[in-house]
Amino acid sequence: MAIAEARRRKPLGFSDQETHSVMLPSGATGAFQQFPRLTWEPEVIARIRELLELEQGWDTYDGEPIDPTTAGYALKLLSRVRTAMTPEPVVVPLSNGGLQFEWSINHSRLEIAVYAPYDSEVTELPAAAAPTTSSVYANVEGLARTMKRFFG
Amino acid sequence: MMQPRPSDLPNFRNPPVNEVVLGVQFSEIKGFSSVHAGLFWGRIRGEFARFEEHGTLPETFELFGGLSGRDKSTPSFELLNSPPVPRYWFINDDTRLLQVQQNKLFQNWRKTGPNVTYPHYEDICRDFQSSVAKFEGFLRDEDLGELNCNQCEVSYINHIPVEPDEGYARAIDRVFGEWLNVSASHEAIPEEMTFNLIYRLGPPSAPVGRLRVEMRCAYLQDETPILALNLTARGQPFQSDKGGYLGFMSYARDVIVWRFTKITSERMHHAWGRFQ
Repeated sequence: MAIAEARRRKPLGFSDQETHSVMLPSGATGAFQQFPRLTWEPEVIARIRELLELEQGWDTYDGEPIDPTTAGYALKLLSRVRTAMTPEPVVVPLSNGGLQFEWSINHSRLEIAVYAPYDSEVTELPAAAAPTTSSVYANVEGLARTMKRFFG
Repeated sequence: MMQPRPSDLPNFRNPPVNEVVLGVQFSEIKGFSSVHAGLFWGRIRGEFARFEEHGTLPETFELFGGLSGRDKSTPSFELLNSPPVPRYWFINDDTRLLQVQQNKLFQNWRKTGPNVTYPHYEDICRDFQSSVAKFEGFLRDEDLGELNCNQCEVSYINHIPVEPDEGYARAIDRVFGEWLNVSASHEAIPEEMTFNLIYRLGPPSAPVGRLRVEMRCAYLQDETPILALNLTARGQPFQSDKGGYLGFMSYARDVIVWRFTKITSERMHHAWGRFQ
């Protein structure tokens, strides 16, 4: 099962060097971490920057250039809902100027299509069941739960 | 359309408002450059005689759920492939400031002197609408597209003087009353205080924005001690159509006024001339 497999994995791309521990006023170092970054985040940013160079008609039809505002929003959305176990997503352009994040684990797939700020869809494509799609607006709690379930 | 002021909304003859900011964030205007900023200034120079360049403000999106705060650490500026177009201040030496950058437009009302009277939200909002309309007209004329608003915000910045020899702690007691209760006890005398309160706006299942309340002990340029109380409400426009930001802004103003009234003392309400 994809979920069980994901849970057996070590935290993917988790870097001790990029964990920001918090210095308490007394000089004691706190035992908690504040928003550690994952090692793949710079790669995703670099990929999005590449996609921002796409021009009108990039898909040989009438594909829109990637909207920088949507790209910035997509990055924030991903940061908000990813878990420490989330592996690097594949980032693909959408013809309306949006972006899609994709993951595949053991024949199961998860896709987050970001069409515009506050206008996204998450699609789960399980290996042996029908795909399900739900809309995501400002409240991303449901998406965060899906990510937790999918990646652990 | 601007909503009428609710009849039960508290009102003050002399509130401690020092600045009010209304703003919208929109999808980046592709092709907008410094040249366009100059051309736009040419249209409004009769009202805003001076300009300044400032650093670009980052894009903000209020999201709910997931790991709170982590998105704030996301360096979206790393996505920029070229230096950002600056934020331009178009300055009216009276009380108004118009700020424009590639994806935001703000208008500030500023209390520029002791005799300047706060004009109240409705007047400030009408002025803001007028500026947005001028900017939209400019974008159309220059073939730069439409404003596609994705966030809007309202801020009230209050400066509350600390009385001579009063000190911050007693001023905080006077202004905020019992809910904060920072009075001195025998073992500790509070000297200063800062607080940040963040409220979710809207129903739990469908939040529409956030209200941030920040209080800090501060000084004016002449070193007069004050309590600076900032209330900012930010969220999505209620409608996606033209002028759809106005509904959220009216709601934001109401939320701010109610919260301001709830966290400040009746003694101060009397001093500020509350009549409703």
